[in-house]
Amino acid sequence: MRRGTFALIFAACAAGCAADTVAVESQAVDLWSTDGACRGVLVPDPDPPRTGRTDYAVTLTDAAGAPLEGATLTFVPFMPAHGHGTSQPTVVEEIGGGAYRATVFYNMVGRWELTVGVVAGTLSDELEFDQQVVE
Amino acid sequence: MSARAASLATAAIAIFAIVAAVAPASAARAQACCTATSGGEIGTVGPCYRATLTAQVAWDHAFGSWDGEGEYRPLRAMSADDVTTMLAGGVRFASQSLFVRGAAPMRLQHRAFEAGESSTRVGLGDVSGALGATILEDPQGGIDWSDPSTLVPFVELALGVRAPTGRAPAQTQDVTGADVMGDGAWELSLEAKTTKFVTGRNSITLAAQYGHRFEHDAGDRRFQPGEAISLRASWLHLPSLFWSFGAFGTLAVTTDVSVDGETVPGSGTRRLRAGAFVSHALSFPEWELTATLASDALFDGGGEDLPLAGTTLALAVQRAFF
Repeated sequence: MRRGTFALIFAACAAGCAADTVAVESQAVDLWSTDGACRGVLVPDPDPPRTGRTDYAVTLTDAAGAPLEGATLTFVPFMPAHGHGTSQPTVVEEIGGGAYRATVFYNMVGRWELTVGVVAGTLSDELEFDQQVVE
Repeated sequence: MSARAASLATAAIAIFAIVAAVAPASAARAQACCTATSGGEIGTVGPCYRATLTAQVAWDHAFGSWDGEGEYRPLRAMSADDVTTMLAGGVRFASQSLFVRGAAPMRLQHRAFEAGESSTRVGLGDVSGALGATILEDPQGGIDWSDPSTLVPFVELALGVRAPTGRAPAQTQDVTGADVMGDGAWELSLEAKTTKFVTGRNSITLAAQYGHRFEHDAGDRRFQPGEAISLRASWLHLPSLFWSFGAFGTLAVTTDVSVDGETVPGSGTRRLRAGAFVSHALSFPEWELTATLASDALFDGGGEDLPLAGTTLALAVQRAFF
């Protein structure tokens, strides 16, 4: 009986270890901001994002479709199921022509909310992206 | 054998059996989402003891994770290992019918990502305690269907508390999260447990626990963890006074969380674990050594929405006081 119990545990473990990795679809997102003041395209690298460092290319346009330049962006990653964010501050760099680059450090596998605050002149709005982070 | 000698032998077997059944099964309780698998609560003091003191070392190794739909994904590009040293104890009083117990874990956690980030951190985990009562006692001789008094099981109720003494997920300062040592929430729990000696050498334990974790800050948000419910079943066999072994299974479920007062759909978790243990009396009946091997059900549907799942190997030494 004892031998059988241990065999069952190891069989379950081995089955899990041998399973193929399940593919996660691209987490690139194109969406309007919460108040509709701007639109953002978010492309992670790697895609899907992984634990550790993920670089994001962000392209912003205003409501009229013109590139949104000179904006101040803040990135706030939050894992709602477990109630935490990340420890590392996000570094944001403007490339020009409405393009920005940001680096986010995720510390856990799972679904994250990535809130991008956008302030440009009188415009102040938020983009709320869902990101499925893999290991 | 005299009647007194026989009753002493029966009591000794019962003590050994109860502790062996309770401690390893308790060690399989699911813990914080951010730990590899589990450390668990130990330190339960059997009805025939005055007190117990236990030291346990457990190694948790993560093999995979489950997403929100219960799909299992093996870890390919990260590793997570925990070594948890637990000191636990319990005391009985009021004619042995009431007990208090407590446990304090010290955790060493290693996380490494393929991209290069790697970290090992040490810290105190969440300290827990409980106050309980034994309200029914099994005569421990096994079931004799012609004698209804032999059907009575052990029944215990306990009110527990867990303090967020470990670093909370929202307070992590490490890029890998290796410094997350606890849940970050106070928890009050109620546990009901019954153990029945179906024969003189075999017992079955069933336990259910409900835990309420309190709302707390998570950065600039208010976070309400889900309610925690766990069920546990274990079996113990006693081939001799000095050896025992058995198996157990646990199912732990948490309901959806709330962030800033809004429920997050699909954020509940589920975890199914199974394991086996073997115990040996180093110096009967005071000293006992228990080895436990447990594993999450590492396949699709074996869990849900948990970032780390794996196996646990634990070794515990217990000193009993009479």
